Amino acid sequence: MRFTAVEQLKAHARNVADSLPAGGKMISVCGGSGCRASGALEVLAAFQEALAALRKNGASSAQVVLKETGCHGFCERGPLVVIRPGNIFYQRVGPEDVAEIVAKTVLKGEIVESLLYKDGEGPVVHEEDIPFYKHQTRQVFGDNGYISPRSVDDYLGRGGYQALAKVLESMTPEQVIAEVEASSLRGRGGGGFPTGRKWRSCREAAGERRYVICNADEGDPGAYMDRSILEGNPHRVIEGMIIGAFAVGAGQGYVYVRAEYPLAVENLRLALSEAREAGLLGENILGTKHSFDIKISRGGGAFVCGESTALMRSLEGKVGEPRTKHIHSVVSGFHDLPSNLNNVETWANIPLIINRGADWYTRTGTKHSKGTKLFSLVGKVVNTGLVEVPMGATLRQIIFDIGGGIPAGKAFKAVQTGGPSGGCLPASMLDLPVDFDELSAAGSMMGSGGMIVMDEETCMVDVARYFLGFLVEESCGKCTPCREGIYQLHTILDNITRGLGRPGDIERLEALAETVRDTSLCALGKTAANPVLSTLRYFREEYRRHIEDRQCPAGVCRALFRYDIDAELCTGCTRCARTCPQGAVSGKKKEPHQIDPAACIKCGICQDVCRFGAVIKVPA
Amino acid sequence: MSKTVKLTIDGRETAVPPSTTVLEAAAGLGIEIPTLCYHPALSPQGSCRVCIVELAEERNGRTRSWIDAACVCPVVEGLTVQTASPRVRRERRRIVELLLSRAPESEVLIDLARRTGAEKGKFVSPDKGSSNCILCGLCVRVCSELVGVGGIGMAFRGIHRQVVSPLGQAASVCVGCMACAYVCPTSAIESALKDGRLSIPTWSAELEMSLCSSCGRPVAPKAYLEKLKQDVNLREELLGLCPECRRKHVRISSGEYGNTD
Repeated sequence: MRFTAVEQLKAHARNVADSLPAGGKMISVCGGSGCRASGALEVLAAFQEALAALRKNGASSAQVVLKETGCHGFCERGPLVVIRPGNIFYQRVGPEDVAEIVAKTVLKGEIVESLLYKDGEGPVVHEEDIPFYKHQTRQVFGDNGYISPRSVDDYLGRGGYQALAKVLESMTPEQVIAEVEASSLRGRGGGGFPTGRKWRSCREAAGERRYVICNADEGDPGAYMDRSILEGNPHRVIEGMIIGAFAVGAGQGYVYVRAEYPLAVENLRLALSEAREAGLLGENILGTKHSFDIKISRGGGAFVCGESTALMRSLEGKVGEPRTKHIHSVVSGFHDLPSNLNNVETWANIPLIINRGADWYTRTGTKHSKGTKLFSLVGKVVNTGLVEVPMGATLRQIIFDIGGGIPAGKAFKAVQTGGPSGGCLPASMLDLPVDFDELSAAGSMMGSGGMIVMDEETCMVDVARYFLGFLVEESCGKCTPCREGIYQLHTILDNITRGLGRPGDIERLEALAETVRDTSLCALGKTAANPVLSTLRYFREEYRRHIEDRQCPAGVCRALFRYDIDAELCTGCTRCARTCPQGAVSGKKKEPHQIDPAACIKCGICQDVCRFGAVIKVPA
Repeated sequence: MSKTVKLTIDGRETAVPPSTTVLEAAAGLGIEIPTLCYHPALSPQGSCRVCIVELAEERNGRTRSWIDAACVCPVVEGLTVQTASPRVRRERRRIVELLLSRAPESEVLIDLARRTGAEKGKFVSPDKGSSNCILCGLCVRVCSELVGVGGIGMAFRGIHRQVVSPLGQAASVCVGCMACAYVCPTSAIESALKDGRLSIPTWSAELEMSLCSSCGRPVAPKAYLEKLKQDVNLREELLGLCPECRRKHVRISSGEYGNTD
């Protein structure tokens, strides 16, 4: 159906709102990339089969709607299935569980206890009562569990495109910009630049055409917030972009998305064509004078292409390399024309701000960071997944209340925020309220929202080495400090972890890090030293132990420890000797065993298999 | 537009047109800032970072200071520039030391090291062969911007970055003008004349030379002369001569080309 007037769209939206008939049930199967990886599509197929059989037998009078949705966030417990209404939450569902879910929950409203979420306390039935969800504020991400990303009607039914209707019906571009400015929304891609101010600069810049661009080049290891928004709710991003285009006066938009995100590309492509058919994109949107369309451009996965000027070069079909930003891309960007670039999550916030108003929006958050922020909580944390919290939530709330703390009773050591060029914050910073300015002041950064939790078995020198290694490969190589400096920083770190650290290495790292930070051309280089500087700031002693004592306190750096067998604990069960791939363990039955350091490759299998804790790490 | 921008460089006030860069404004005062990837005839790219300067700007009663490359930084009213502050000297020295790790034999770098106090061997050398290339990109820019050929480009990322011909093979568009070698600050582009052919191993190129119609010595690559014929309005008989014979020819003739030398 093609809407040719705003009123038509609103009437249709009223019709499709809450389309579930009385007594009806919706089975929401998470089809996000995480749940798909753990078998969600098989679960979905099993539901399809079961429901088809049901219909054939005429057994069900109630209407049952099966929905493959985007990511629900709780990836740790996938595949996830939620039965609505009632939000009965089943986790780690396999195809074999489907028959029981249909027979009991869908048809009779009974609970399948074995599939419920359990932690220390008793089982939890409802989605909203699970600690992981209970402490979140899911105002951007929450619709994911209710809609099919492939249905514009689903989005309309949840209030979608109402912000666009409001804008086209009753607002001028100036009013839209003023509202976004009043919301204090700051760019969610990492820079935290005020979105409204960016829009105003773009609108005021001279140029025969203007562009709006969506940055979906999410490249931080372990981060998948933007991916999951695009996969699960692409219309929300499209709506934000149409409104942005109206505000800045753009006729063409682009989504620059990684080719490694096939599901995001597929769902976005479907959503764009649906939006076009509905008259929400193209000439004279909803019968108004606003014309705008969006193209998808798939990026090859270079990390630097998330940088605005590099992204625009890449979009032009050239090599994605940054340029100096003395002239901002809102003035001269894509094809040297005014181009307004915002990240996926920023665009997804726009409909909310227009619908609820800046006054409402600014009630959430801290003084200088308003609204919510999505984080991908990964690493050594019990509840891996995507979380959305108000700006100002503390690291402790995110990692412990929502994330459930550290698995296997281990101690928290650090959390890395802001992607590869973010920083590592120690336990003493757990009560830090998370917003743009607090994270920067602590030596880390918001970045796009990656959050990697590390436990006591993590070596911070090794972590810095890992991230610098990533950046060695991802620096474009255009400017000297980034190209050569990161390589040299990595070389020094690599040497330290291999037991080749020299006195003065810490000072060398600090001096060089300063050069890379202060003299690099773009933000990649300017922030690349953060992993080194923040670990030096909070874990200096660990560096010193590596360099001076040739010891890795966390027992990670292989060159700095060897495996040994505690003769008092060893029972001579021979298990380690039988498992060792190198034949490095010897000893008689029922007598303490020994490890030959010359033959040992430090794979750690002996320690894994020992049931008596007799295999220990000792300084090499 | 007679409007000018006032700024202070190393304590000296100056007024320059708005589109001037800090590097140009400094040059106007006779203040030399070292550069490697800069050439007045080419677009600046601000990549070698040797020309970094310390900038300070007062806004709303607060002074903001930062480091930037002078070759790409446009002048701003009231800007204060320090081209050799202790901080600039320290960072510039380290940048030269980083470049030296890549091209320790480069004469221009050794000279720059002497001027900046940079030491050789401060950093390990990345494994990148024996070339003295410092990836300033002047060759790439001259080839595309001035010659209009675009026969070479940057390939690979980060520490693996290289200037290459297409897929490492001879570019069909290369005319052998050698402008790349002319602008290269570290003489990293090799070429040799052998058996009537110009060989440029750096670009895997071999070009046939045109021989002087008068003395028979090699003049220039045939492809280059063809390009000149199209680009420059010169009489064909002159293009066929080597520079020496051309001079003789011009002296003999009416003086029509007296100024071409």
